[in-house]
Amino acid sequence: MERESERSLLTLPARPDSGATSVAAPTGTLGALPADQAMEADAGEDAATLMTGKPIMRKPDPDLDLVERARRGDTRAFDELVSKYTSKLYGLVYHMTSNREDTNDLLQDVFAKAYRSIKRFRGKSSFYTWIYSIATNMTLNFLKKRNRRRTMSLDDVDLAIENDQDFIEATSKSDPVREANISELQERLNMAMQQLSVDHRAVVTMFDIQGMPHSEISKILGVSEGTVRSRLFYAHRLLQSHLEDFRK
Amino acid sequence: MIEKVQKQTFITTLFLEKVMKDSEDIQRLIRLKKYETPGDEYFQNFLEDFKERQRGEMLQQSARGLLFERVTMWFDELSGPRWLIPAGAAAAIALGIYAIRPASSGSGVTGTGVASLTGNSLPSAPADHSTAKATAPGDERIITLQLPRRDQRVPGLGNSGHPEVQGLLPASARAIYREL
Repeated sequence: MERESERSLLTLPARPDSGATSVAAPTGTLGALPADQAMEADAGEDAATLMTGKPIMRKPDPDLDLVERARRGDTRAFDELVSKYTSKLYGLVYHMTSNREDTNDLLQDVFAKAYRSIKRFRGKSSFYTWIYSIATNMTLNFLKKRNRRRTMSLDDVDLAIENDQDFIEATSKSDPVREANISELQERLNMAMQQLSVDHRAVVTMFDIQGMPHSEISKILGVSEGTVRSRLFYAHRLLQSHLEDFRK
Repeated sequence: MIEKVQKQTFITTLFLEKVMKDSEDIQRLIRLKKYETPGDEYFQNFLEDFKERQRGEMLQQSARGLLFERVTMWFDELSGPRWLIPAGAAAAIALGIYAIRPASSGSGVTGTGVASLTGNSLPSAPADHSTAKATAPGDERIITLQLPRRDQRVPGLGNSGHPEVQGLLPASARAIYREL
């Protein structure tokens, strides 16, 4: 399975739907920033310039026009941005919280915060990276406060899963333990995710579920790509132990 | 020796392959979570919910809160050193106090011209009810109340211990006089 993240770090093509730029990640292991700092930092800004000493051509932000209009007070432009990013950000927050009510509340807060702060967005990173940083940091802060209260409230599973080859393989083997139905598998996966620390959960959500490249994750979290890879490695090891019977 | 190294390399490769395969298996399983979704209806309604909630919050938020938020954002946008913010606020407060203080000390003896500030003499009881000296709490200045003669006072106003004072003095002076 070839992934964009496996290719050269400095020549990563931007995902067509992400607005990501072809820049390397900033170095350092700062950990998750508070949402306010993430907004001020314009996540991942000009990291490539810092590392190489010369600017790298960046793909223009596809949201530039909408963002400019929203900055001038055009609420319709902001509404368009909300519509565009709701489903992506929903996925991010939901897979980290495993609770749809919390996800809805957090998502409302994320967009409200972005609306209040959009005049401070300086365009040094893409809008996509910026708002993703806000959502990630608000969710991490929320989860750290929520601590041990781990009530799950799960969304319905799209029935298209039944045609997914990975699902068929995971559930149709002769081993009786693995003859799981959809809801059981969903519960097991969510329980396994909740066993991870919030930092590990964040990278698993972004990389494994949402398919984001390492470089983009490192910009959003404000950590190095090495840290992202390391967190993924340990997260996978932990998940293996929790989902052992589905893998054999 | 070479054989031993080759054997070790082979074992390491096998181990790494197993780790990679395990990791890929886990990735494939976790990837199935993407099918968990609230459905299209949720996303269609989200924007309306967001706008409604925004409006509600705007109504609930007081004018003071909005002012505070805007001032905070304005300070955040300033590029100068951060210590200037508390320093500026302290300077503004000091200026405010300086501006208010002379006015308040001058207005303390106004009214109907019956009270005046004197020097550092001790307060004394109003012997003949025509003058009274008092010290305001926490203030060393002596306030002397000069009352009109008894025959010039308006009778029947107030029923406190000093009925003759109430009709003539302003409320602030009356309160001080009552403490004597």
